[in-house]
Amino acid sequence: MRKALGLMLAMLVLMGFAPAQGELTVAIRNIDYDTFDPNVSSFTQAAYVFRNIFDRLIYIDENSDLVPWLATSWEANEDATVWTLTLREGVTFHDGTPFNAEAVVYNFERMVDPATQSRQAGPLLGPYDRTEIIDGNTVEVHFTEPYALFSFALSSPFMGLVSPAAVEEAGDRFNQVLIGSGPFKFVSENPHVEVVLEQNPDYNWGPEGLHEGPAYLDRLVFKFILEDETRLATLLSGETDIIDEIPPAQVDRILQDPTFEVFGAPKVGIARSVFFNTQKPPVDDIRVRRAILHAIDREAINIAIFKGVYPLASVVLTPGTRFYDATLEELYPYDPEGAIALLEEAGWTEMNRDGFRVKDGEVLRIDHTTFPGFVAEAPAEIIQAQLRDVGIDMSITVVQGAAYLDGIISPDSIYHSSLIGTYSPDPGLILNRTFNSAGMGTTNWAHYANPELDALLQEGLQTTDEAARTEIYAAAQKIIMENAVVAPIYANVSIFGAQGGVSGFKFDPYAQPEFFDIRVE
Amino acid sequence: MYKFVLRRILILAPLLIMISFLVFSMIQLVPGDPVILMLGEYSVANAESIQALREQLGFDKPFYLQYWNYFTSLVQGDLGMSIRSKKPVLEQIVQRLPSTFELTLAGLGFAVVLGIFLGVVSALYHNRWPDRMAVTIALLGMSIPSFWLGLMLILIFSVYLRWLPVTGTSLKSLVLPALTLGLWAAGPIARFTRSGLLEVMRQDYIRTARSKGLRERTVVWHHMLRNALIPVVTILGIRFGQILAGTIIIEAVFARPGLGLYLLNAIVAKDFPLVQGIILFVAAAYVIVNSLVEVTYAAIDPRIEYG
Repeated sequence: MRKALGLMLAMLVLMGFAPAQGELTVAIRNIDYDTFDPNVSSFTQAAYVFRNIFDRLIYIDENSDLVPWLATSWEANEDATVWTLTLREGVTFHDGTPFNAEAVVYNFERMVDPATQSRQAGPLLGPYDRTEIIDGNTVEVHFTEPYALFSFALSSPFMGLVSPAAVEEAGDRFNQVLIGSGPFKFVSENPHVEVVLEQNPDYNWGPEGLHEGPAYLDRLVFKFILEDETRLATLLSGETDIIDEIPPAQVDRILQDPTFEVFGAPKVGIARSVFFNTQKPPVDDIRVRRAILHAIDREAINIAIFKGVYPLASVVLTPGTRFYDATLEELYPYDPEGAIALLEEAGWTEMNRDGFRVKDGEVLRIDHTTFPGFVAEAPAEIIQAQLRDVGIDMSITVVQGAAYLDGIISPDSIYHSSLIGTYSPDPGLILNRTFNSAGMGTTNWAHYANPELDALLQEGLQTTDEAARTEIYAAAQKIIMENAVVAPIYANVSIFGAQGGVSGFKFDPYAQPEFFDIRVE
Repeated sequence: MYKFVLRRILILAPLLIMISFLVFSMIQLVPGDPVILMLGEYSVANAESIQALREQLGFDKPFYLQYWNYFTSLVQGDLGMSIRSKKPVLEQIVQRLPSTFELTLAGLGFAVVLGIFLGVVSALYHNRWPDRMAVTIALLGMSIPSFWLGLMLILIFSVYLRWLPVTGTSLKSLVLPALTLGLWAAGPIARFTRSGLLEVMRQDYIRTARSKGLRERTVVWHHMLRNALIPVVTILGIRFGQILAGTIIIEAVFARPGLGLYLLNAIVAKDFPLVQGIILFVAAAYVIVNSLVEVTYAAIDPRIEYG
């Protein structure tokens, strides 16, 4: 009997049915990722995959501290226009190409080349000018203006380093070859369905002090499953080991079964907030905007929709973001009476038969646009009810995909507001992008122009002095909040579920999962 | 017959050009700047780099010029590159076609077997309980939303019983989606089979066949069904488009690598070349399938001939 069993097992192994040792399958929600070429992509969930294939010069650890990786040290000159990077020796790309100063120059030049059509890496290089090779393992990166955030920018997963030889050979098809120097090698992609990676056995250059030697897993498989219920079903049926984007309402249901675990990481940065079109009446009136901030009960939204899982946001930045100013938290407590007083002060004194405020025959109406789903559509519905209580008529238009962005990008959009946010452990780049008047018509979603704020945001990018930056960003947060440019609602959280046998699961400060330390029992 | 097929193929070329222009114009109406959509919420790209990207992709050019550029490469057989993934469109379509084809075929196959079976049962037992039961099953299949049905099947067969995988590319993983699609598509087939049969049953030649002493099975399958099936085949051709559309939802629920879901994504992302490519493919398939349907008429019914 035992013999027969042994024979059967041996046959199964021969037939390839035995599970590979240390294989991990991860199901990811976003199937509409762009590309796994880090220098081209702008999709966070594409980064979940390619961050394993491509190493970066600098790593950012759980405390948002910068840690040496392929760069062993970095230093800026006095005004942060020239940065000197010392590179690690003995690193090779998966195709055998050595990593050195030339490879770094090649990568930076590729990121800024318009032909690359880089969506994130190129912009992250900011006012990049050129890179000079000092010796085989030292480069000097020159900028046209001071760029204090360069070292931070290098920690972004989108700054993954590609093999120059592989790019030269594959050309346009590099996104189907994907040669980096990371802990995992690219094996195959069935677009929008599955990506398979395998361990890089030679890997010995993990971020300093964080990981030594190759990754523990032999194979890492990503599956792309859009439907929340389907994704959850694959975890429950054991087809996948880890899934992302668990709706908060489902967390309890999963935790009821002790065979599963739930991990969460807040996405720090700009809170998911109602961005007002500050140039469009009636929300061009600061009193109306302040009234709305007072009329929204964030706590009620959090309990009803997010089951208390998502942290509340009271300031434009979320708690945990660098330079977060907690002293601004009490600026807009939930206060419907105060909201009504502000609206009356703004002249919205009459009421129509439906209970909405009227001024000069005009109803106090706000057209809000959002994308579907619980993260944006559901909060909008509660805000709608809360605004109704103070006499504001809010309508909601749900737009599929990211097209809602378009509704708030143009200053003469038909919409007054949308719920949106973005994240980054250091707020410098995203604050500048979102609130600098230079982004009017593209990235300044509130269409807010304030020369004082512009100057602060610019200065914040140019100084490396932490104390000075703390002051700058405190002042910037204060201007944004006092002018009620946005109504912060909550901090988004990246929630993952995993089988009990998975250990070593961690997030980095970008709220992205880190796989090189994971083991499967 | 050959002339007929040839004519159909010749019509296809101008038709596809017209479709390409229509689709190109329609995409312009979809809200959203493709470059902004591509960058998403989290990009740090500023106004300057956005403009550079737009120029690189040719979106700064007027509409007619954009279409002309597209058209000239189209007639050379080049469907272009997806702006989002920067991969060749044709390659991506070819990669996904088998999956959608497989699902459509398996779903349709199941629908035909189930539909005809239900139709025959309800016609033969007209107004008795098997009829009512068959009609109810057909109606249920049509009315239950397929995404819900799909999820229920996943819960029962994958999560609780663990008989079948939720997703994947194996033959086993085709069972649940094909069942979901088939149940949805079987309803109309059952109804048309039923009414076709009921009409044929009263014909004189059926009475003749019976009085000749033929076995009931021969009468039903050979004399009745063959004549009753013509409207069913027509319905299949017309429904082909709907079934293809139905795969979108089913591909989403079962995370299958098909064209339908891909098209949906491409539209949302305003990925012009990809949307164009997929729609041209689907349109061509639709025309071809309907031409095939017309050819099949002649095979089923010798009275029909194409000159």
